[in-house]
Amino acid sequence: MLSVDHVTAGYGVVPVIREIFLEVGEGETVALIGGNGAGKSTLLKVISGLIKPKGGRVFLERTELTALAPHQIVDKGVIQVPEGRRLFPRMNVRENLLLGGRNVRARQNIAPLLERVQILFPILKTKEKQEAGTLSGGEQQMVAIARGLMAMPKVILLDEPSLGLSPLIVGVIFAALSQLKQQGLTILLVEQNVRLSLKIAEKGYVLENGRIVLSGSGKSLLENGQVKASYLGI
Amino acid sequence: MKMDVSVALGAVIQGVMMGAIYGLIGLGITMVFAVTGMLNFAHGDFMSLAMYLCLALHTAFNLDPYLSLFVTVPAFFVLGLLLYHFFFRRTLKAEILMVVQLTLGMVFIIENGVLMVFGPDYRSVPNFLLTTVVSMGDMFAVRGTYLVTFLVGGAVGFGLYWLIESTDLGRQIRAIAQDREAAQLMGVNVARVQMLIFAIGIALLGLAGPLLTSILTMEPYFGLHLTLFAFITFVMGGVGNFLGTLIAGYILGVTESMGMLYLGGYYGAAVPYAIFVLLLIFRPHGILGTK
Repeated sequence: MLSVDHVTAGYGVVPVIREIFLEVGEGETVALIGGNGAGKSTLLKVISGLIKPKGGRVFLERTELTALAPHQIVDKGVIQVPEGRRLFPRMNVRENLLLGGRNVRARQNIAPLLERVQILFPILKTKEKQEAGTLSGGEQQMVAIARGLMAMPKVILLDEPSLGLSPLIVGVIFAALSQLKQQGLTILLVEQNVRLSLKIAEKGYVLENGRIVLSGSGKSLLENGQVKASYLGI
Repeated sequence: MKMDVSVALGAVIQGVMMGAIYGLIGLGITMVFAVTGMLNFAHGDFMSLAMYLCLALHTAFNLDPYLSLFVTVPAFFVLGLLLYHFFFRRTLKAEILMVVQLTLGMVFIIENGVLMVFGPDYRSVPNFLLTTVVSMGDMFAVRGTYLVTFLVGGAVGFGLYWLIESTDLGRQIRAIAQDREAAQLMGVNVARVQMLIFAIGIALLGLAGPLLTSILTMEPYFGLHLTLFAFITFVMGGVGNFLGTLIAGYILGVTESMGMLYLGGYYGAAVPYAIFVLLLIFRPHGILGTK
C-alpha cells in the first residue's frame, strides 16, 4: 500500500537517510526501529512531504506522493502522528480532533469518526473541553493518535508513540494499536520500544546510520542476534 | 457639574467608537503575525491609501465614502493577494529584517506617491452623515459618522473574532499560530491560509479607511501614525492575542479622547502612548498575554 522506493534525503548537503526501500502492505503493521539519529523521523517527514527527497520516490498504492504538498498527502490518505505529540496546546481536545478531520474524505464523516475515537480512548469524551496543553503526557498521546485517526487515514505513521510515557500508559497505547490493527488499519510504527513494536508488527526494518541494515518478519527480528544485542539488551 | 459629567461621558463614548476601528486595524496585524510571523510597517499607509482612494472617487465621481466601501474593500482584498504573492511571500524564509526593509520601502513609496498625486494639504472627505447627530437620551449626543464607524467596526471586529474562535478557518489560523509544522501534518494548506489572511488584513484597511475619511484629516505622511497605533493594540493586547487586540483598541480610543478632552494638544496626544508604557510596566505580556 505504501512504498518507499530508494529514498535519499537530508537537511543540508550530507544525506541523513540513503537509498531507503520499505514496503507496507494493506492492513499490515510495520515497525521501523533504530537508535537516536538513525533517520527514522527524517523518513517520516519525507513520506508526509515536509522534506523533499534528493532521490527516490514514495507511492501510496499507485499514486506518487513525492511531489505533493503535505496537505495533499493527507488528502490522499497518509497521516502522521508526530514525535512529541505536537498537539495544538491552546486548543481544547475537541478542536484538536476536528483539525485532524478536515481533509476531503473525513469531512463528511466527522460524527462517526469522533464517536469511534471516543470509544477507543474514553478520556477524549470526558476531557473534551480541556486545553490540550494542560493534559498529562499519556492523555496527550491519546489525543494525538485520535487526531490522526480523525483523518480517516489509509495509512497512519506513528512516530515514537511510547516516548516518555509510564509503562502503564505504554500498555494502554499499544493495546489501542493492536485494536486498530485488528480493525484493518495500515500502520507504520517508528519506535524505540523494540520489543513491543516487533511483537505487534508483521514486518520490521532496522535503520542504522541512515540505511536499512536488516529487515524481516517481526518474529524473526525479535530472535535475531544482532537485534537482541543492539536493541533488546540481551 | 452635570455638564462636565456629560462632556466626559461623551468623550468616553466617542473614544469607544474610535476604539472599534483601532481594534480592527490592529486585528489585521495580529492575524497576519499569527499565521506568518511577519510585521507590516506599511500597514497604516495602506489604510491611508484607502482614504486617498476615497478622496479620488469623491473628486472624480462625487462618490460618498460609504459607497466607496464597495470599491475599496474588494480592491484592497485583491491588492492584498497580489502584494502577498509577489512580495511578502518571498520574505517568509528570509531573515526577519527583510520584511521590515520591504515594508519600510513601501512606506516611502506610498507616502511620496500620495504626496505627488494629491499634494501636501490636509484633506478630508465629507459623507452624507457628516452633519447628522444622534442624541441618546438627554445626556449626550453622538455624531452619525462616529456611530456608523462604531457599528461597522465593532461588528466586523467581533465577527472576525467569532470566525477565529468558532469556524474551521479560524481553527486553521490558530493551528498555524500554535504549531505550523503540526498544522501541515494535519492537512492544513498553510500557504493558502497565509495568503488569505494577509488579503483579509489589507481588506480590513479598505474598510476602515473610508469609514474614517470624514472623521480624520489625512495628509501624505499620516500612515506611519496609524501603523504605530495598530502596533500598540497588537502589543498591548498580548502579542498574537485576537481578543486582546480588540480590547486594546477600545482602551486606545478612550485614552486618546480623554487626553484630548482634559489636556489637549501635544500633551493630550501623548496620553495613549503613556498609558501603553504604563500598562507594559505592570503587565509586560499585554492585557491578555500569557507567559
